[in-house]
Amino acid sequence: MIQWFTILLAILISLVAITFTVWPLFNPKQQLFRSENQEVIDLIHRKDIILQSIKEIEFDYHTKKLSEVDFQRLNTRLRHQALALMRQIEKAEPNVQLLEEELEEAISKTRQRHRLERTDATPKNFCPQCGTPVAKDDNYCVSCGKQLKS
Amino acid sequence: MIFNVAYLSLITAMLLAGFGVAVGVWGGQKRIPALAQSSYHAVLAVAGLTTFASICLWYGILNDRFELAYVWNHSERALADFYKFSVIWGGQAGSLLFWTFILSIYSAIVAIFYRNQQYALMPYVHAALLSVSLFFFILLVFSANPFEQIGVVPADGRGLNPLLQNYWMVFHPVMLYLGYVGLTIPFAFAVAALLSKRLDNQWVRIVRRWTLIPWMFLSAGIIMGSQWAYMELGWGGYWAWDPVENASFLPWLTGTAFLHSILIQERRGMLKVWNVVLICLTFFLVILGTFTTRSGILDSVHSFAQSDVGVYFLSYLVLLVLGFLWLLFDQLPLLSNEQEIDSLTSREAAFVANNWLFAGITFATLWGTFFPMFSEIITGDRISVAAPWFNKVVGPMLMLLVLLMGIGPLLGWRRTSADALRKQFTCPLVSCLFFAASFSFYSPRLFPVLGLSICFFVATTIVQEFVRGTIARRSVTNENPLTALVTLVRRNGQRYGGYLIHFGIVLIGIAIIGNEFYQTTTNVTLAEDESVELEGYAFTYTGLDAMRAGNRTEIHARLEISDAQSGQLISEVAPQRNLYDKTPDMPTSEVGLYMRPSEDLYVVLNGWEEEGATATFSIFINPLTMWMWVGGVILVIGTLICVWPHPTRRSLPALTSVPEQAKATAS
Repeated sequence: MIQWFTILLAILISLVAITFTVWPLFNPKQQLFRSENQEVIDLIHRKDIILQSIKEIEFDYHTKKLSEVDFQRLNTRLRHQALALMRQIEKAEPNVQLLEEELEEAISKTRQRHRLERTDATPKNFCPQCGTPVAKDDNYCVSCGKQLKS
Repeated sequence: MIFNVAYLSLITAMLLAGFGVAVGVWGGQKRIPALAQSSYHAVLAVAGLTTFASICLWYGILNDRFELAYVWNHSERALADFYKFSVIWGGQAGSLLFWTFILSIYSAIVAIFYRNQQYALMPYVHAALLSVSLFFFILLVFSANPFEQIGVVPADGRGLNPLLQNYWMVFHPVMLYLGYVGLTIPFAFAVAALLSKRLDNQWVRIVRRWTLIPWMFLSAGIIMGSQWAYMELGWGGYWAWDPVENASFLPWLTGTAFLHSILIQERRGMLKVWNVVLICLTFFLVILGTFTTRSGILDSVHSFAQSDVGVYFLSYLVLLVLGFLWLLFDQLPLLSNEQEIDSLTSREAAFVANNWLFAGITFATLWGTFFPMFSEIITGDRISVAAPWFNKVVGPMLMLLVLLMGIGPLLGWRRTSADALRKQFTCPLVSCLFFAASFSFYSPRLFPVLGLSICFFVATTIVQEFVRGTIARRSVTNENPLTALVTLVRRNGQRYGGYLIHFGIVLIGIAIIGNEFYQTTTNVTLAEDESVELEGYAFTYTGLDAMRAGNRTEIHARLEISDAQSGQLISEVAPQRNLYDKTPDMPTSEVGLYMRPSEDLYVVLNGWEEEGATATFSIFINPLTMWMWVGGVILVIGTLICVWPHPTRRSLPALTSVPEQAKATAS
């Protein structure tokens, strides 16, 4: 009797696991996995990396690891690369750029609000586009690349 | 009955893992979402079944079900519940089930975490993870069944290995397993990148965190293992270059090299082949480590479990190497560097040098570990390479590595000008030279002075980095120094967490130098109330006590430690020997320890005569050893800061869900 019960329980557990595994093959509506625009994702990744690099050379410059000349040269080169990538993204998927901008705007508003609450810094020390703190003599925002001085 | 069901669940899990591998690869290649989804379900189903089997084994152990051969061989009724919990990794079959259990949980977490992302990679990631699980299920089902029954129900078990009955042995193996097994995740992503031809910098961005977490566990596991050896083995040291210690150290070395070199690929698109090779080598060393522990191929105090699983492991290792080489050469054209190193005075150049050193240390350790086996195969004689060889060969390379740890962060990415070099190096170099000159008066010995000066140099560079970073942040935000420092660390967790890890390593280095070069010891037999002096301390033996504790008899010796000059009592210690009922021929020792920041006073009870009228001790003064454990804690804290999510950085959203993410982030 116990032996039969063992066999039945083992079969039941196995059946539940097997059914769960093969279920997506017979129920295509429940799928999480979709195909995606890989080209655009690559471009966005590359742009993110360049923007991160810009932040890093800015930081290295402030901590005196990069000379003024090297910083300006690298900064210009990286900004050109970032702009070129943004144009490519715009061309490949115009909606993505729009959505990204919408996202950036929403984040920057929240970020700016939080900063104003926490510090006594005046709003003029922040980038008007993304809300990142900037020095008074900065020509460009270190985060989003927006031109700060004409 | 329940154990038969558990065994059958392992068989089902094995079949589902095989099925998951097939649908994962097929779904990935043909881009069929239904198949990819099925591989995701297979990962979850396998995790459920493995968890069920593991719980069944724990149930058997905690309830003394000695009809199971595994429980009978590795447990006993009198064993404390705390140690019964650790019986699962005390033997061959149980530890393999535990390996598989942790892997299945890791796999399920990764699968759930990325269920709506990385559609091109994930089916292959599932397949790679399940293929590793499949290997372990084959072992469990065909070679090392933890649910094997002996047909009768013995009255009691044969007991757990006495060396494992120590609280560090409850945590140390779990940490090592979490580290070892967790390194399967970055390996699976690397294989997925190769199979999907998605060999850009995306996969290395993903795996950074999934490598750091197991790396942290592995580091903590190694440190805890050292603490166990220090407290339990009673020879005054913590690391003996034992083959199984080396087995945990080897993947740590390659994993650490990988964590550094992926930063270059992420930033500059370089070292793509090297990174793929490194992470696959790390996984290979993990399996090799498990193999050496489990097969008993190398004699070691750690080889608790030995059986015929060696053949399976060896076959798997061969398959692994061949499969990886085939994949690598097949995709080689896609792994070309996007850029070159601009200058030797750049951080990337320092990272490349760091990787060469890691590779050198790995090779030397691997060679020293397997030399006895090679010598036996070639000459018929087993020639062991002892700890002094490792210290001579690996020691200087480790010292160079620590030096690079100080130099690297001072260099900027791409290029550092002569002026910037002067600004960065002046303060640390001057203070280092000042320290070296002062310390030489105290101890005129070349290697410890050199080593400690390097440690001091690195510590100064780290402090300088924190100070300069805080000043730079203050100049932009006008925050007060403390807020600026905290925000700096929060917003640059990867950089400053890394510096904290480096600081932890420096402290460990200082402890190693103190222990290695300044340890003093004496062996002495003392009658009651007799004293011995060592390094200004007087150790007085005051008597011996015997007491029963669970499954053992504990013999405690009482010693008073006092200042040799003033006679003032400093502390009392009680080194002990444990005699286990089931294994009286394997007594274990617990050292008597008095820890100070400057030195440890470490006493081992070696034996006694005439019921304690006299007792023999080994007494060690171990300078600076406490800093090893402090360094270990700082290393873990640093890693947690590294992996902690950035306060504002968002992960790349799936294209279809950007508006929702925007709303969620904004609110």
